[in-house]
Amino acid sequence: MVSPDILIQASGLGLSRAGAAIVDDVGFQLARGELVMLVGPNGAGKSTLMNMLAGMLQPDRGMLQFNQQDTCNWQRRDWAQRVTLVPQLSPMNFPLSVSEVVQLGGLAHSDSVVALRTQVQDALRVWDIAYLAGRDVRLLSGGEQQRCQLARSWIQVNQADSQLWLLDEPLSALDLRHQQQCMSHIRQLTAAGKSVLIVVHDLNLARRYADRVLLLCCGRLVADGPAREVLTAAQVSDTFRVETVLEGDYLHWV
Amino acid sequence: MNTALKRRKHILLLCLLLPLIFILLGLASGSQSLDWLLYTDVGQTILWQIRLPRVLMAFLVGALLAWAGVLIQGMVRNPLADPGLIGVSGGAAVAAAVFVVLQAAGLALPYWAQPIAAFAGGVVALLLVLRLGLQGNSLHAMSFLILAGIAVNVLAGALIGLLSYMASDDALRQITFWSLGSLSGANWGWVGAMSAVLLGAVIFWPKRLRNLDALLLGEVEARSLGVSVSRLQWQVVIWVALCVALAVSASGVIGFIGLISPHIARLLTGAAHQRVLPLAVVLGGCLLVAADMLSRVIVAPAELPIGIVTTLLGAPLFIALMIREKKRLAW
Repeated sequence: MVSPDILIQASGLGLSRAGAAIVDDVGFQLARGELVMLVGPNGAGKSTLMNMLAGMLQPDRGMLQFNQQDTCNWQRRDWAQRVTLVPQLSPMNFPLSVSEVVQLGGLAHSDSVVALRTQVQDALRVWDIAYLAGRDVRLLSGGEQQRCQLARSWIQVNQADSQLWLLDEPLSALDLRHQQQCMSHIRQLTAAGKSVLIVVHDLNLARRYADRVLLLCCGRLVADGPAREVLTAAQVSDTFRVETVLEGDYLHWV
Repeated sequence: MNTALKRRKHILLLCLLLPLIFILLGLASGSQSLDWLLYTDVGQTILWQIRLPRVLMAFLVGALLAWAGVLIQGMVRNPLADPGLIGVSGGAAVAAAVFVVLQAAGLALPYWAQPIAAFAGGVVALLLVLRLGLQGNSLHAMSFLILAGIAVNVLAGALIGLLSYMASDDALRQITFWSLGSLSGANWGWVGAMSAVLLGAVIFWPKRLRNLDALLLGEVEARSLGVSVSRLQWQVVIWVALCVALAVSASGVIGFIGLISPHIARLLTGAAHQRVLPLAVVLGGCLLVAADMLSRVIVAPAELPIGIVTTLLGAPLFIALMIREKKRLAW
């Protein structure tokens, strides 16, 4: 029997391309209000797994349940209303303004123009880009673009029926202060009962903030558990093939 | 916010006034004076049966090409894309050239069959491109589609070269004239057909423009926002084919309008499609009316092929825009 607190139930997920398994037999649960971080070396299948959870890629094998419902028949819009994916930044060739990009976060929901305008104002303020509202997005720095993208998804994920936020390396372009702000916004969402799954490369950050860590390597789920139990010096040395020691509560690399 | 609103109002006014001014100017320019056109019987006939449909068709062809340009540039997320990119105009040009050669060889074909052949050629080329380019829902489908379009265009160029080589002097002249573009075939039938397609686009597109905005962010981003990207791409391809095939069959190959109008519109209002599309369409129409006036005036009483005029004006303008853009984005 699955507990009602479980939002995502994945089992045996697999995807192959050109005969090679990119994701192989991955199964896990995600509870409501949980903050889980997904870590692993390059090419481990992290982004592919995120794309599956967002309905971008249909798994070849396995089952994915959302709220104990099968997701096979969901249309794009159904996914977008429930799951908010923030992919890694892609380059932009067109002069959209920051506020025009941010307001697209309301695309899957049919709110009134007035309601959307308030949401845009809020998102711009929360992500500290109100002063950039009219700026051409192509002229922003990497970190500013990342905050603009986060503000867009903030509108989407804050809709009532949106329950899962998937972030693919949201922190890599952000400075220290905005990383901390980002984590506190994420905490604000999990406190409201939404689940968050983040791909990160900073293992100490994962140890500090995550409720749980999923360690992925070569398409397989190597470990799943509380951050400090999964990210031990031995496990990290083994998976990332870098000699690791734990000093105090910090992982160090030799 | 307030200045943006004011600016928006100015642009709306521009969209309403510009076509009116340009169409009136187009009507008034030509080898005969306006007086004569209005106050003699022959003049009236010329005005209503020749000059008005020609000016209106110039506007409509420009508008359709600009519309197609906005759609294709949004779809491939490249502001330098041209509606000819997906092979439609190449296919239409080949079919028209085949028609001319057959006619010169003594085959009796009715005059109205040429545009129909051109339209069919455009559609066949498009189907070929889609067949080559689209593979299921692959995320790489778009670059395949563009490659296929380039391949079909190159093939079309070679075929036209071959047909020109084989053609008699007279047929060669016709092929050349057609591939350089001409509005001399204007009549009310074309005006009606183009107005119908334009009206269809005006009904179909407005509620889908935000989906196009989302697509500018990237395919994955658009899908994550709830846009069914493959469906949107099909819609774009079909409308581009319809607009371009119709324009090319009526007036031959007219370059740069579909490329340059969206570009100018974006410089004026930013990239949001709700503002770019109407402005680009109006600009495209006005630019072609202006180019047509020039083509009739420069070497009067003969006329220059309009494709030469649009390209002669468009290419330097385009280079200037590129230099400006490069400076603006440099750091």
